[in-house]
Amino acid sequence: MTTQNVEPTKATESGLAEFKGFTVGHKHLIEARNKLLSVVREPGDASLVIIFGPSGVGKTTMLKSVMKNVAVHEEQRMKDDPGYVPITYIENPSPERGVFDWKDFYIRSLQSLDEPLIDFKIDPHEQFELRKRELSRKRSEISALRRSLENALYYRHVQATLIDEAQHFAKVASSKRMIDQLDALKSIANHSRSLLVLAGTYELLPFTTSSGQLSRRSILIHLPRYRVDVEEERDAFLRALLAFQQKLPLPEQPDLLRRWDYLYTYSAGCVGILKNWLNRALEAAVYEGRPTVTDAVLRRTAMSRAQCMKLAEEIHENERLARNMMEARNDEDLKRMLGFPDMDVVQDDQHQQQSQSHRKSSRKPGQRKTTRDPIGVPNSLRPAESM
Amino acid sequence: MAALEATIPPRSRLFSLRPIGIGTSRVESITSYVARLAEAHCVTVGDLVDYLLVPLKSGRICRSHSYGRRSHLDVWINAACPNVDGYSRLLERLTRQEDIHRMTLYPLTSLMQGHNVLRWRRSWCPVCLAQLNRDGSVLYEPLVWSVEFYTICTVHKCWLRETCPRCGGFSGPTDTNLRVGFCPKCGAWLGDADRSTPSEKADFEWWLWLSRAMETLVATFQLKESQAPDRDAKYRLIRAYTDMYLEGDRVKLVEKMHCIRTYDTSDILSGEFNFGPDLWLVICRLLQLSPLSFFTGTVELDKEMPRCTAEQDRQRTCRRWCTQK
Repeated sequence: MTTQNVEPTKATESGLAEFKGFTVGHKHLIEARNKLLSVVREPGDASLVIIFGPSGVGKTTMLKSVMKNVAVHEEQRMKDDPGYVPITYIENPSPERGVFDWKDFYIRSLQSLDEPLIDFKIDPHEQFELRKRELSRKRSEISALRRSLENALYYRHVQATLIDEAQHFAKVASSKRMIDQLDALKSIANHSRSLLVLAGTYELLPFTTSSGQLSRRSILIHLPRYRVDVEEERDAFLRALLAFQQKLPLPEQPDLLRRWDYLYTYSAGCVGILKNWLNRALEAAVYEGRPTVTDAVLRRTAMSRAQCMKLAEEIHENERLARNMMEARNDEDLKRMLGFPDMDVVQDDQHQQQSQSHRKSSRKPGQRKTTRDPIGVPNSLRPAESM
Repeated sequence: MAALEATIPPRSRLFSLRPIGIGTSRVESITSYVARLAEAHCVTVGDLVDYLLVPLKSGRICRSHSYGRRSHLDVWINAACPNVDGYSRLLERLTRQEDIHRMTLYPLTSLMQGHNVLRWRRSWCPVCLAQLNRDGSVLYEPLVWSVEFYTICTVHKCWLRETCPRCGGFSGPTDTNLRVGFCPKCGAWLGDADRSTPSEKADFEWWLWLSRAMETLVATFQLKESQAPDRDAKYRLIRAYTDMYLEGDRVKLVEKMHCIRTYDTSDILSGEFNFGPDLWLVICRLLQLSPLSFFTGTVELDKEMPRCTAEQDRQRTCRRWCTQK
């Protein structure tokens, strides 16, 4: 199909930029943003917030929205205190050698706070233990950078440090090192008294369960895609799509709702992916002189089927893992862990029956089972206990 | 990222630490403030001065670390010298704190003329440091500890120290590894809750009075930045004193100022000599005048001034710094 010669579109460079900067406050985004804002304002005991969701769902957009909201809210305090930085944003780069680089992270973090003399950092507590010559070599070592970051967050009274692409923290050699990563983050949060907000993909989920202490002091926020099989979520996706459609600076408004299933399929229900797609489609339409975004333009600017299939597989698998992790235990399991007496009797019998059914018996005929005999009054005969 | 940076308005380049004791006699010295800034930013005082302050002030980077240049900086920062105004204003710009210029002796320019008024060596009251540490307060060094005539802590009535109790070393106010409360050579803690034994009473009382006088001057002229001390006030004062207490008799004035022999008293009365702080302190003592009156021009006797013999007066007339106008 050849491009027809039509009048130049009314969409200009400014129109393109305006659409690219446009964000729609859809349901999941608003819920996640409000939850994050409430934690930033009243963190309580929490030192970490972990925001996870599929790539392209809108985590970065949500963080930017929170940053603007906090900046407006703290405007007066920033005028009163010229050193005050209420919130800061750091984008974690993907490590070049596959293993997370703390030094690079600290340097970027310090740069985000406009910290001076980054190349000259020392650890004041080591200052007098090292000889002068060693001190000059020890400048800007990791411990010094970390202490400098803690100080910067503390003295600037930073309420929240937003770290995007935080799944890169998980790129370590072993699971033990992951715990070390978490301990380092927790220590930074404790010393600096700043809330750390980690936003990333589902690879962050193991962080939440690797340490009981961390679990207690972290808050999880799930920013999922919109599910087509849930009517409420499908409607929310359609509302977002409509908002984008109405914002497109084109002479003829395209009917994107008519093609909603195609748009949903090739964006996996992620509003961020949809928006990026529409950005590309709009740009293509403008530079080709088209009055609207046609089906051909959409097909040409969409992700490939293979890419979408890969994305869908990852989302499907990670959502299942997320459900398992966040709802891994039921109340009975929880009570048993905490030592409720009734739970041991019932659960032991059930557990043994399940395990025996899956295990080949190694006993000889007539040989007694080597298990505990039941003790106490069976639960069914006990009177009901109040909560 | 640029859009995110624009969300937050420009912040102070350095942490906006609040100066301590502004408007009081225990105002923090600017070198102590620089040391606190350096520690907060996890850099040495030397690096902060050499790679940030001096380049911003002079437009060039320091390429050597000579003690000579650093020692000039010591004077510039705490002393009454035109350059100090530049550094204090620079720090105000970097920290967005407005009172840093009050942390120097610049308002006393006409009084504190020359380097011998300031201590070349850093001095401190160990009991003050120990008390600040015990109270959990921010460690800092008052400006008066930088004045040579301030030798006794007026709070704890003990002599200031100049040498480290562990290594015996001494340091300047902007030593490379300076850290408030610690020796820059060995890192030893300089606080000590035990007070040192004062000397024999007469001497101790005299130096205590002098230390209090320094505190009064620091506190008074700190807030009078727009009203520099009147340079001619001291001459008017001596003339007023002579008229008020000596019936205008200059012979009696000469008798009172018996240890000052190298110049004519009439020259002092006429304002011919521009004498420095050590000489006016002696005159203060001889005439039993409050040091503050010397700079306000108002005759005010100091009834708490300890009495001394003529011989002690002669011994205490150390460097007489008189220069002709």
